[in-house]
Amino acid sequence: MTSIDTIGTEAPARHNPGAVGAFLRQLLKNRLGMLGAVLVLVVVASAIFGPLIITHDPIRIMIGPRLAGPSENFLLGTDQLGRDTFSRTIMGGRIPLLVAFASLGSSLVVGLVLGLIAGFGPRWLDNLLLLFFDTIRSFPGIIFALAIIALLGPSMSSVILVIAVTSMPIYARVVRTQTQALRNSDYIDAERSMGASMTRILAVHMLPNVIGPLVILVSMDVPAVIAVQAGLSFLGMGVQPPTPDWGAILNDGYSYINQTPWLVFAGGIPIVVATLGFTFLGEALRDIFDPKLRKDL
Amino acid sequence: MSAVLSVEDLRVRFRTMGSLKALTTGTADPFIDAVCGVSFEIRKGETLALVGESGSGKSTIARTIIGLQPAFGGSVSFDGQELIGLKAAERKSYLRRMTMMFQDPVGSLSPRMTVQSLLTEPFRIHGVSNRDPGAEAERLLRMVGLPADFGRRYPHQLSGGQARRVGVARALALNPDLIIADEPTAGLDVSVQGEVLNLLARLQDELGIAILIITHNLNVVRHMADRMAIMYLGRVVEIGSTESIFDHPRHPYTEALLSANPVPDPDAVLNRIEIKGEVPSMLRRPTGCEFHTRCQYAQDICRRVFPAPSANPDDAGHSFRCHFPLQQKSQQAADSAAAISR
Amino acid sequence: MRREDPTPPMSAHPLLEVRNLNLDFGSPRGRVHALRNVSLDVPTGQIVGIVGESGSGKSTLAYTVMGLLPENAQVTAGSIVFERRDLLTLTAQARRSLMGDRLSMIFQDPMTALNPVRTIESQMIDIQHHEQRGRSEKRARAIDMLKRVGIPDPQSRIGNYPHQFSGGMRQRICIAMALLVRPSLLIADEPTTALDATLEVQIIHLLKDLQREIGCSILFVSHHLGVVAELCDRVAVMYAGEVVEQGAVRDIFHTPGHPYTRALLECDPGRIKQRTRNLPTIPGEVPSMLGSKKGCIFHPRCPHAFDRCVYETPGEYRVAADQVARCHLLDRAGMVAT
Repeated sequence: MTSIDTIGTEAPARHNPGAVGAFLRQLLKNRLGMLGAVLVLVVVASAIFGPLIITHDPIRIMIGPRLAGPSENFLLGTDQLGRDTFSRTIMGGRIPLLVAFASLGSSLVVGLVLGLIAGFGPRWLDNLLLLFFDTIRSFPGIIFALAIIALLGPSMSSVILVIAVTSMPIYARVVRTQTQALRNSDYIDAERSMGASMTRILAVHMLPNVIGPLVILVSMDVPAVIAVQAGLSFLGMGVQPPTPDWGAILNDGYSYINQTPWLVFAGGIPIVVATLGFTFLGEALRDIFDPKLRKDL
Repeated sequence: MSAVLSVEDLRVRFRTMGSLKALTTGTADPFIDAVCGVSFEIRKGETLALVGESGSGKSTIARTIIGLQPAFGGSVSFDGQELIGLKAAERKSYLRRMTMMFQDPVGSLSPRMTVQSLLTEPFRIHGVSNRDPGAEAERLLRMVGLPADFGRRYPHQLSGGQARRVGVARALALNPDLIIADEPTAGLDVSVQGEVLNLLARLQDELGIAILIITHNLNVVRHMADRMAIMYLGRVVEIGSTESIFDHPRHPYTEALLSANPVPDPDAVLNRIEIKGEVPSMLRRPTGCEFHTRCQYAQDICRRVFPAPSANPDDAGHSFRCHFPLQQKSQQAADSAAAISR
Repeated sequence: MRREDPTPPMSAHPLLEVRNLNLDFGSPRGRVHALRNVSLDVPTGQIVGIVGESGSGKSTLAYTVMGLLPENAQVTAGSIVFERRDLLTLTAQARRSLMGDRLSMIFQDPMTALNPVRTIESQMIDIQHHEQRGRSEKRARAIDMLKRVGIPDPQSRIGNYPHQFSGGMRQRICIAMALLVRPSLLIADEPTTALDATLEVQIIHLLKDLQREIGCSILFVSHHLGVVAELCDRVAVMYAGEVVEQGAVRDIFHTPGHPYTRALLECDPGRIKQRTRNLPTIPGEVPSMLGSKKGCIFHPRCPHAFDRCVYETPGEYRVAADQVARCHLLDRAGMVAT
């Protein structure tokens, strides 16, 4: 009866009352995770409190030095239109983060609902939804993005829509697989045998058990979304000028790279910092919460 | 005493392939009969054991009674009310009075809930809100002999025996008339097994609950059950009082099953009836008596004719389906005595 | 009917000799002492049963002998002498050449022990890689072995995949594979637990017959007292990582020397002939294996415990000619410590 692999291994972390504390303790032990958390905190805080930090209006075209180097007045110099690069960089994080959270958030919710329905509902509905997911996934991503942008015009909402639609099927499939594995488990049967309604089973007993892995998956997609958003902006298919945005700053810097190399860094370094931060944090989350990948021995 | 639960001619079928595949492969009947005309009843305060090997359909019967599996035919009536064909909402009120315990003691508890919320889950499901959850959980924990601070634990912090007690407590939450226990001792050590069975027996004596035990463990049956039904390939082949069946099995399969129960005594003299081969697939049910492929007494008629149920002459409650039932031991003794005197 | 032949006399050197084996598992909460001072002999040609409840370390012992331990396991002391060589000091290569040749194992779940994407034939031929034979000869041996373990129509079934067999048949195939290499020691970890009663009996008889025929020793791990009583010549009773009692099967079952063995036997409802609604149990719980333990491991649950049991770890006392137990009560009764 003693199975060898159950000896000496901890039961997987569950959502206990002291779980937040335990999580923080685990995170403190994970150096890369801590670094990620700090970077994410910096990026998010500067985006939220941006208006309090900035020294100039990021879209005001200043009559004065263009493409100037860093100075006391302009910490990171000015761009080709004489706008303050520091202020634009600080405010430029708002768009990528907003895009990431809006697109992944909506895709998480839709994916969760559709995945639960596919996993718990009747077979024909499952097949229908799977067909739907696979149809979306079969479009090449970039073609799909270009089509949407051609249709709706380049804007932040187009980018959000593209990312939400293309990432949703992946989340839905993960939820569906988890739900199917759980639907035949003894405790779901036990709930049904007590007369629990479908909504109660899904909301109280299924959801908490499928949402954990999903959140980890989504958090690991944040850096990719930031990169895609920056890429689309760089190509001029994202947010339109004069809105400050890292991808747009990068594009500006790229055009004037010979005169003002720091402009490229002003757009590029925040992107690198943000993606690395979210990547490290996401991986730490996975290591802490996913018992299969967790190495605690 | 009146029957709490009466099952009559219950049939459950499983689809083996999609209708399209059945059409293309020319399969006229893409179903198997997992449960095939099963009848029994349980009276108030009585324990009935459904005994059989894996695949005999015993768990399917339990799932059908509780409503997790639709029936194909027959009747399941609880306290006189027919349950087959009821809508989920109509059935719900009966699920207060009839509860089921599932095989895996830890796995049948929702993993992210505390013991207290697990125990009070039945109250929430059935909208019983006029009770204090903390007090109720404490009452139930005391009933099954667990300390009150267990209410704060999570299922993965419980041992198998403790989790089983929590399962028993939850099954008792709404004072049911019938508990269906699917392998209540599966995965438990012998020392803990006794605790769980004693607990069930005590609570049954105190509360007058009827229990349907589904198990393959004959030791459990002998100590717990008043009556037992032996299942083979989705049919009841023999049913009667536990004593009568243990002392005088009439069906050869029962005899083999009873003798396939190793006794912890190295010097036990065994007249073991070892049956050859394995349980046939439900996809290809044997003709006639379905046990004939493994039966050492099988004759030609067994291959052709499905035996009708017959009862013991002196005990109408003990019936079996066999063309050549084993003789009762008293009869055997009488026969051999007659042979000697001759 | 059974065991009409007396237990063969123990030869000077047992086939397998486990001495003072200590094994720890590293865990986040500290070191788990899974085996403590385990000593056990498997004489040539005998079946030795290891009984115990879950968490007693019986499977861990089997896996340690076989060398199949997870990374976090560490043998801290002791030796496992098999055919006069200490398995714990052998090189990995020397050990590998023993496994699947002199030593083989059958597991609780026959499905996970077989490779699901390869035919029985290729798996049974592969396992004979130690032998210098032609492929067709190896195949013929495999078919012959399948016939002996009771697989009907082995000529054609040998080409099938594991999932095409039922659970009982799969365990038969595992036994056939384990015995194909003619091991001197077969380690069986709960091989009948996943099977139905009628199949369990069939497999036990099969093991017994094949053991007689081949003459190997078997280390049989089980929690089922009835199966052990029926199959084994010798028994070791384990509790919380220690062997508390061992000896000839008759002595252990008829005159158990250790209170835990007695309690375990009393608990088995198979022994209670009279129908009862109040089955005996062992009050209390299996102790945590974390940290070091003082005194007798069973004393918190033992009805006969006295002062000495709390502070002194009992040594082995002889109960009968071929039976030893670790219990201070036996010392008081005037037994001689060994």
